[in-house]
Amino acid sequence: MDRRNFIRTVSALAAAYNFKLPYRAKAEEINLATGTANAQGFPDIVAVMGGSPVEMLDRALAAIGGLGRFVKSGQKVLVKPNIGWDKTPEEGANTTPELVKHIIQLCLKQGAKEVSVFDNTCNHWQACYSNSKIEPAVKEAGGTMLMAHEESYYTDIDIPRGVALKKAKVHKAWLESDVIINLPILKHHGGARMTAAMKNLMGVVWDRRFYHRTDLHQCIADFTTIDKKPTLNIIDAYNVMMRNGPRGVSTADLATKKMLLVSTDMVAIDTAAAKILEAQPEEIAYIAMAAAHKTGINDLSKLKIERITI
Amino acid sequence: MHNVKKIRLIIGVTVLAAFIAAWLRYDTFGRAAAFLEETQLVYAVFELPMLAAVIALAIILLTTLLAGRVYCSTICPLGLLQDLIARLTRRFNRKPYQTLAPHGQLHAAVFALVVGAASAGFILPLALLEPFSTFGQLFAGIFQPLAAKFFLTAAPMVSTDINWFGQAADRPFSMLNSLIATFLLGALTFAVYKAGRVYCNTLCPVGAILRFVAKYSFFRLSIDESACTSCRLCEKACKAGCIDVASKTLDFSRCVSCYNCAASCNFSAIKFGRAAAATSAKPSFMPGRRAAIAAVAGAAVGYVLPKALFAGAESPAKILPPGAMNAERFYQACISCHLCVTACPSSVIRPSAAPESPLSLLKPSLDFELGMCEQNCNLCSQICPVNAIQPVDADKKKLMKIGEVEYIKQLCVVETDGNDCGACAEHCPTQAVRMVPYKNNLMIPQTDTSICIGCGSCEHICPVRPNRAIIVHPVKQQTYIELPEPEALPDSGQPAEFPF
Repeated sequence: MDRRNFIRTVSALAAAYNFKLPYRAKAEEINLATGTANAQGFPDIVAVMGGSPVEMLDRALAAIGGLGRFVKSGQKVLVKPNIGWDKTPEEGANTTPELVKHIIQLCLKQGAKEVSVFDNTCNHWQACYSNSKIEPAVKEAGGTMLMAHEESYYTDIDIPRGVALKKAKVHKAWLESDVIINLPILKHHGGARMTAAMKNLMGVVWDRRFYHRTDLHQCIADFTTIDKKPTLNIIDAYNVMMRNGPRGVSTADLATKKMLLVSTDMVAIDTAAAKILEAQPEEIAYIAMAAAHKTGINDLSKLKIERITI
Repeated sequence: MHNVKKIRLIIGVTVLAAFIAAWLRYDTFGRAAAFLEETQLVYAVFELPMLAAVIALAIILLTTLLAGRVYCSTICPLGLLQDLIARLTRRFNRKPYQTLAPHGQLHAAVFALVVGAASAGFILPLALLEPFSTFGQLFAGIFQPLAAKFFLTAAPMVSTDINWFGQAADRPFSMLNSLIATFLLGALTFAVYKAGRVYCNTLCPVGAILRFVAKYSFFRLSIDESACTSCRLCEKACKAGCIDVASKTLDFSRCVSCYNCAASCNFSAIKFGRAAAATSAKPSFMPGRRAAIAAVAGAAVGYVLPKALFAGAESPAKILPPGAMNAERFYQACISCHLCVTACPSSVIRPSAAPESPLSLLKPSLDFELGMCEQNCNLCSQICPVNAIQPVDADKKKLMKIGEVEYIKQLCVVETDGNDCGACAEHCPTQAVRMVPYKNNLMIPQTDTSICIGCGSCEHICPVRPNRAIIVHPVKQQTYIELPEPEALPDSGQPAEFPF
């Protein structure tokens, strides 16, 4: 072997050694950020009423300390809306696309390195992504839609504090993001009674049948104990599906509430959302279960709520 | 003539590439598939009297009448696939092609048998021999599932962003269909290896029609006896085995218009010209009377036999694609081209997994393992080339009832474990399955079959195994449901203050 060949071989080997397939990293190798504990002085929940979704979001973010409190320059952000159904925005089954678009633009303005969006959809994923108008909204805003319809996009994680859900396959983007913004739409739900912040996180898990088979409420609550929690929860309650949810049969199922909630506490925000849905928070078992896990507070009287009417 | 062969080759390669791309990735190349299916003779015959079919039929027949079976080497996907197989296997087979017996009576009899059986309601022989459907079966049974595995494995390596690889739908192998397809592909490869395009001139129903027309072609290939040195190069190059140098004849009715003979000739002795000027106006290889007798006999057997065999046989009940209307009609009309199987975005349409009856063998039906019949999708009804799945408007499809739900309470999680679940009701697009209050503050499913469309959403998502607690049964006749007018919400006015 002459010198030239030797150098060539060595550099080829070095290149091969350094070559990494994307997402080879295991969950435990990744630095899991913890949910942001509420800083002194900021309200626990900001509730806004009466404006357009985008307008309400701006007001709510300002009241909770600005997006800069959560998103720092150079960070990877994940926005997790509800894109579960092959429905148009008017049908109220998926998060309002303008909200998704606006939050992505705000994150990028804060200097976020990239903003990703996905959901493990119930209907055919491409139909959901495009007909919900969320995919075009994400593209316009400069974010990235991710695929989530195959098991290979998910990684096993342990949930040591889980009672029924001790393990789950979680989308890799969830584990690799620095900031997670949970952006559900508030809806009635035949099985879980209500879908809002906590229930929306079922869309980052691969095997939703396990939840249903084992103990739906307990699994939803157990998932809130994972180390990496949403940094910020925003509930879209502009048009609220009051019955026949979460899919809905017609627009007659919708009530125009013109509300929006923001909180760092999933349990607290769901407790408030239940009231908007005209349901009793005590009847929604997973709220109490999550509170028992101490992942949040379900007693609204103990929370600092800022109410804004536009 | 070298140039003519080159043009044939370019068109053939392009068309085959388009077919393969469309049949592997319908999601991307669906438009090509929709166009290609309309070039097929089977479409032109079955879709009469639609205008597009009339035009397609006229073009195919006039082209053949003008210049012979150009169709067989440029449009027919199975013909092109055979050419590809020949290309790939020739290197292992040094033996040149040989003159083949014309098998005129056999071909006529097979054609008549197949058509007779089809008109008697037993379409399986046609489905197995018709080239467009055979091509579809090969792709739905072998190549598309393989490709899907490849795409889905490759996708995460490319990126988790939406990428082209990841947009492929998963396609499971369907044991029976994959076995039959493997057998068909094996038989075809063997035939091509041994005797070139022998299938096209003995078994192919399209070949039989075009062969009959090509007998009277205006322009045709023939051997110029004055220039021919009897070197046999053309005979050895002829995939159809229709050249006999000993008698200096070229049976143009069997010629698939590949022009390899003309390109192989060093003395330009193979000429393309007016039929009258051609010297091969010798006794046809397809003796009219005998073939006619064979055809009549074949048609009679084909018509009578299945009638006798399947008299009183019930069409097995299956959940059929939306637009199939009923099993009896569907099993008689579907040519098993499996285009719906190839195209279904949710991989719900699959070839029957078990042969309950020869009538349902290779026929598509619905299986909710991988998904549900999406309420907003009517793709299969739009693309069926023979209208076995009748076109259904997108709006009407939303209310089309293709099955009926059965809820099995004693298997349900709510009943057995005392836990909330509701996956079925959650997915139900019409709330034919809805959650109603049950003991211990639980909610339990309740079904209303009158508004069930049988889409399989509930069966698909039900988490109970091995037997699901909610399943969909076939209906005898596909109908449309009527959704009741929704009641207004008790108070949908915008609240004046926060409820907390």
